[in-house]
Amino acid sequence: MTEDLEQKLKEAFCKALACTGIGAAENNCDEVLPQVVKHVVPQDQHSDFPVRFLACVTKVCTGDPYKWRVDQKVPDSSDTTTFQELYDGWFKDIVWP
Amino acid sequence: MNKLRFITLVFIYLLLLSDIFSQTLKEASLIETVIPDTGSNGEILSRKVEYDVNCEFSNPVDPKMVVDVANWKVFGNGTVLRLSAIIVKSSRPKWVKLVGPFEGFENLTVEFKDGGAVQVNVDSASIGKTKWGFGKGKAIDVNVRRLAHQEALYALDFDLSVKILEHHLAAPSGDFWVRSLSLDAVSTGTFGSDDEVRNGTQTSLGLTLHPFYFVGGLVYQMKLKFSYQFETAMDPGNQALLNIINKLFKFGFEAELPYTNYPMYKLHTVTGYARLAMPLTLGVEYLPKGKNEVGISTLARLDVRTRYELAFSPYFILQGEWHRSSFYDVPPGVDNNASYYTVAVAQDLDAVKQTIGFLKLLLGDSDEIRGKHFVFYRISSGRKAPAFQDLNEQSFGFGTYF
Repeated sequence: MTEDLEQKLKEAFCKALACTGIGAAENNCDEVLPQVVKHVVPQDQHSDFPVRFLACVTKVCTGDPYKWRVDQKVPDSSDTTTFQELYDGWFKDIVWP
Repeated sequence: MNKLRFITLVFIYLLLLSDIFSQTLKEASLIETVIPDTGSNGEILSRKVEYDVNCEFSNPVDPKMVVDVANWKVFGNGTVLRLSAIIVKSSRPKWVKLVGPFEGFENLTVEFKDGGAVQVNVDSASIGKTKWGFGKGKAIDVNVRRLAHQEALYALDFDLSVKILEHHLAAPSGDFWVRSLSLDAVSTGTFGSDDEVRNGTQTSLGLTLHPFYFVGGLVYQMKLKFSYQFETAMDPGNQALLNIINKLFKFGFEAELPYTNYPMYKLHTVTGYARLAMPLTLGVEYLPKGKNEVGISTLARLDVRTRYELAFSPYFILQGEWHRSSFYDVPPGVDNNASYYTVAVAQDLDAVKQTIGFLKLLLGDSDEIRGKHFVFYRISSGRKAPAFQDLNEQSFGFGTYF
């Protein structure tokens, strides 16, 4: 994978995170990535967050400037899954640049 | 002996080498994919849904081999289907996407030729429309609090929900997306060490439609619900804790209001506090006349609920809730409405630990508690369903997640 593509993938992932309502992902995404998903998402949202996130990934990655294909696969996350793990183990699989 | 050992080693080496360079097709699955539908100038006109076949190889493959249409054959119900595109992600891909059309075929098989042909059946489970989802989408919220009264009173609040069955409706194609219809079981309530703090339970089994929509670059969701519910409360006469006071069908909705989380979202972009900014949630439910345990008719009512959170920092998270129940056909002398509010101030236990030395000794320096354990102070007042008893309490509590 080229450095340019890797950068674009990370940028799109961070935009999708911000779309769910995580404002810190807009300017400080590198600090959000190592954090545990369930610690950043309020408890009321724990059950709905995976679908909410897939909706945002689809919206961002199929839109400008990326125009990628996005497989409709909801992420699985445990109590200890981090955003970095979702990026490497789920996001990179479902988007097709 | 040495010659034999040498031959064995060479054989094992060749075996390993052949495995490394083999381009064996391992698995193929049919998957729902959303793609942008672009105009002649590359502008996005809309989004559309396709069904593609994702193929997984046992090792990274030569892209020249896999993008050659002549090396692939896809059979749908026995006939060869035309491939409109083959997509790879990198210079040594392990995953390859075949673009169809493949929709509507029950028996799909994929054949890849690399020396010999390898044929695999396509797993179409990934787009199964209806799925048992027991355990998926479960949420368990339990808080224990001690009331700031003269005598020691304790209360346990719980909120449990689980998706039993989910029917997948559609992938997003625009700014409005009706994701699924689910069969959910939900139970909420409060048990306490005294009548004063018990407020009964509400348990329901019902259907929920889940639409999502995008406004101003952020996603919001709605829930439209129809369910059967029973409500319990303490019967002080015979000390029965789960006395059924109402059984009925109900319907209503819950909606996140656009832009209401925008101020907190913008604050987090500046402060860097990593927390999802919660929108104001509005819930409305109509509960027609029900019956209690002994068959006596209960009043119909309209419940309105709002919930909001302002998470300024790990040191200061403010949550508020307001409920109002309006009763219909009320007998003379009975209130025709009841309202209730609660305000909670919460702090991440990790933030408390930084300021209170003995907690650091007790909990250590581990980062694991950050964002997970919270302490809170809550003020509640008024009357709310199901017991509608007068509550006027202040409490301190501990919760895992908040």
